[in-house]
Amino acid sequence: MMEFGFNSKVASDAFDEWSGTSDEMVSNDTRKLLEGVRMIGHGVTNSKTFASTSQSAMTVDEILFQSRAAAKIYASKVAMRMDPVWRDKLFGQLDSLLDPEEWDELDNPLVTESFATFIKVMFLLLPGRRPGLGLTFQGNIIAVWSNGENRLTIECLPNDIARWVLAYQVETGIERTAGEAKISRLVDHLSPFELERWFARPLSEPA
Amino acid sequence: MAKNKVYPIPPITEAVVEFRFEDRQSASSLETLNSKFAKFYENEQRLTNQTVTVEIAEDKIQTESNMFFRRSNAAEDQICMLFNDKIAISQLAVYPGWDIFFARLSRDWAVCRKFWGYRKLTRIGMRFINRIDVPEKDEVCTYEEFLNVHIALPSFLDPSDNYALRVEKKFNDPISKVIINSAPIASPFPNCGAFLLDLDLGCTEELPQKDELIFDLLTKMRHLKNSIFEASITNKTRERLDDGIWLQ
Repeated sequence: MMEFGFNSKVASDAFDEWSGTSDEMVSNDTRKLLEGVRMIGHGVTNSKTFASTSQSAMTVDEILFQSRAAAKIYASKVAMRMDPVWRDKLFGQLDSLLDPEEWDELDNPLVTESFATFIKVMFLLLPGRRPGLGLTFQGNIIAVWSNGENRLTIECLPNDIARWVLAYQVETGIERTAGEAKISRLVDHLSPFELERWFARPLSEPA
Repeated sequence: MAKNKVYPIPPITEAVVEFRFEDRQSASSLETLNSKFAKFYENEQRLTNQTVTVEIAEDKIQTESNMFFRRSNAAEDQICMLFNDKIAISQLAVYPGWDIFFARLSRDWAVCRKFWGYRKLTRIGMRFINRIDVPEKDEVCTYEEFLNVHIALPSFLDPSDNYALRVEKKFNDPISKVIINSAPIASPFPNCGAFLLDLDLGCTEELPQKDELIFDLLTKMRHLKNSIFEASITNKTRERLDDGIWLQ
């Protein structure tokens, strides 16, 4: 039978002596994650330190930099399961989408929660072709696949919601359908239209 | 000690090495050092830590404002943080392996050494934050299948909605304090749950001050970290870390 225990001599040490590598040294996303799980054993002391990190009012360049950085940092969370070429091209698309020289100040930068939905959609659909990317006025990311007259457009909303418009060729012409659902149901909604219609790589397109 | 296994799909979402110093550098010294890192990290953020300390017993409020720099590469996966009393070199996923990470932190350390000369180190920290993505079965993820570091619950509390686990232990080789944090967390992948396995090693006693000895200590810390990691995961987790790329 296994036995478990603790070292009673050490366990009496004041908990605060065990402070580890400061959370401020890790990235913002990791820090948020760690704050979410830190809940054990902090004793009450007579002093309390509140710390915050501030930045002065940001320029458009800075706002776009932060938006690009947040998306790339989010992408790093899944990058281990992503082909490096896929990742590099995605980063190129993000740089282009959020280019300060092309930016209209009335537009909203990419919403990270929308980007998180986009990443999940990519891992759900596992498309054989990378989509073209766009941004809505609200800052939601749009993924577009075109193959001749066939066109699939998915707007990725925060909280794992997708809104799609699809156009597909039938004998009598082009038909269009639109919908909105939780992404967990996305494949069910799109499968009847044969995903390969959009995701198959045309012979003329390089890999 | 477990051997240093290299996984095709490393679960490390962030690796950080932190050096803390006894003294504090001036803002102008920090500014100059920051400029020396521009060639390695093209992005720069100037940030300020504002700290308010309330001493309840003495009815005293103290405020402190410290500027620091966060530098990063274009892909935002290599980060260098410069404070007046500490520096940290960080790698986000995809973790490229110790040799590459160590080469970068040696390079950055050399830049600081050349600029500052000797500064007494008071702590060396190494923190590896792992996310173990696991498949959901009927919306439940069973931790004992994937982690050897986990909680035990009476059956009527299982499965739980959430938990957090923290283990602390002192080691003698190297002399260090280790904190292990584990908890269920959200996975960025669809149809998956995830467990956090946060390994935080800190050395403050008999701390070397010469470069070669500092690097030796880092190597020992890394071996200890790897041993803890290997002991903390199951073969089922190892299988998943050997699994390939999903998005081609």
